[in-house]
Amino acid sequence: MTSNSPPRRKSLYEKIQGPEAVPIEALIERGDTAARRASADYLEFFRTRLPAVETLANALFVGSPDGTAWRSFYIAVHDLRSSSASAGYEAVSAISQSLEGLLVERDHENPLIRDVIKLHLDALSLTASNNARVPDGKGSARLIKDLGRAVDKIPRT
Amino acid sequence: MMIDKADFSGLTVLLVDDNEFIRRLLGDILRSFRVGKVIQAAGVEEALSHLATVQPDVIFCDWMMAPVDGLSLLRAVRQSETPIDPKTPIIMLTGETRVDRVAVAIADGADSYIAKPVSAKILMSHLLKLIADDRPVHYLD
Repeated sequence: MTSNSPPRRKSLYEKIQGPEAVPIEALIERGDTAARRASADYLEFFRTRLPAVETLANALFVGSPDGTAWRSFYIAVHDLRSSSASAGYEAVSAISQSLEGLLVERDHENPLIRDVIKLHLDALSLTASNNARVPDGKGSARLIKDLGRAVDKIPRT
Repeated sequence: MMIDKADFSGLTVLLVDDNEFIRRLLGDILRSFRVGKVIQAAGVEEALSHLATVQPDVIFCDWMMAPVDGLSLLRAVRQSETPIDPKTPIIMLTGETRVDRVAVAIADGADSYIAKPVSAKILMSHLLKLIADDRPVHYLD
């Protein structure tokens, strides 16, 4: 029998069948090990990335930045938040999340916003110089709380 | 459909993310799953260049990228603006968890989305979900 249909691609289910099949739990364990190994290099990435984020922030501090400048800075902060969270660097993630909230929810025209952005960047620099971790849970909580109070000085949009 | 073991060595995955660390992390996890081929792209333009010659089995694509965001790649594939099968499974990677925003990606044809942070377990669960959906598709190799 002939058919004009194009050749059938194997479904994903068919493609993963085979004599080399490994239990899913074992694959996840392997994945966790690989993730831990990759995350060990996060600090170096963070320290390399932070100056680029600061450069994008500095572009907001001169003249009248346009929407593109704000958007570029927001994407960089968002990126920092999601990558640090994936690597398990909770302090960097929490500071970035606070900064992201500032950029999304608060009035960009308020003159205080630049100072609050600088506060967040200082906090990120502090964590970078402290191996991206704060000394203890209390220190971290206090830092995030203080940043939150600073953010609250800026009216919501 | 319960999948308790798998051989991913026959799969080709395209991983699109502008964050070097996330590419390394996800690439290493996928390789540890013994995925046969993991192709990485740092942006939409680079991804489109790969798609000119490769038919991936699954695409993982970051949503928020500059200058071109991941939704553009999703739309390009779904609207047959690339040479690959427009039904190729695409999982969006996002830090965005607001329902209204995520709904945009789903409406545009994403098969699934992963809210970062990403872990091996989460990545595997999304892969298995796609496989369980098991949609046979047709195209010329």
